[in-house]
Amino acid sequence: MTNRVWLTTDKFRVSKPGVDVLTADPEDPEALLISEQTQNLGILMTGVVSVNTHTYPNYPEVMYPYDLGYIPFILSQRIILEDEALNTKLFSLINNIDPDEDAWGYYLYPMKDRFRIFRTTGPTGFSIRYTVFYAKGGSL
Amino acid sequence: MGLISGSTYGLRVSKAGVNALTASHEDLMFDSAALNTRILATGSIPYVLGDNTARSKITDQIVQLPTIDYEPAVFANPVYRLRTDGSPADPLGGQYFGASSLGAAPIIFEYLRWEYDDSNHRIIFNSMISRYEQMMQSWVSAHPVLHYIIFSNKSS
Repeated sequence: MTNRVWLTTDKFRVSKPGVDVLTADPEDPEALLISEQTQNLGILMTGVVSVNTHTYPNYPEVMYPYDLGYIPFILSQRIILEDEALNTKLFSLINNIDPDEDAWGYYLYPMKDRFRIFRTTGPTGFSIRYTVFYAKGGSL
Repeated sequence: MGLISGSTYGLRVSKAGVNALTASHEDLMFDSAALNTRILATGSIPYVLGDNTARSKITDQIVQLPTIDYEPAVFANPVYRLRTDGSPADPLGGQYFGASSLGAAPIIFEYLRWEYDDSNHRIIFNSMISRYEQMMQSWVSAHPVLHYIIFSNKSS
């Protein structure tokens, strides 16, 4: 039987099925699911928010449960149809449907305690769904 | 942790109030039967104002990675600061925010690219943005930095 879990005073590792955790390379993503040497990508929150007309500086904002103290990693998608989404982008979703037109949709700006949405031209109202991860890019 | 079902062994951690043995995937904080990703490196790189230009740049900045035999997935984005002198004033003036990576308002973003040096296991960043004083944007100030997160996914 393959060893899958390795727990000592200085190690906590879980390997993928078929991989011996005792001999697995801790840097190989194909080998381990958890290693005490690296951080896994955890999710802080998910949800859906409506985006309607707004004016500076009153933008739609979504608060996190608490101030993270750093700017997190966020994925978002504009919902085009029920249960459908188009043009998934990191942090933003603006791609020209018509290359002769201005970009339309929205930008999503993550901050330490919330994210802000900046709606551009296009439909008068729509919704986006989002996932806020714990991942920290830098000290700001 | 142990025998999950049949002859399958593994480790499951469920959300509070949920039985880990019977929980569906969305109720598990961790499931050893599912793929996940880990973070290889994070950090920030400051943009430097170019000489006699209206551009701020990052030139051949190196992030050293562990010894890996694949090209990792990279996420990177500039971080700016909201102005404090807007009219009307932004209630969040002075706060940092992660800017879009696309080249449209309110950030004039020209390029951001990185390459993986597989011989030396490192990522090399290059980027250029328009100088903020000339952007005439209402809610951006201060020189940006580039935040990056490098994941253990094989992207190629």
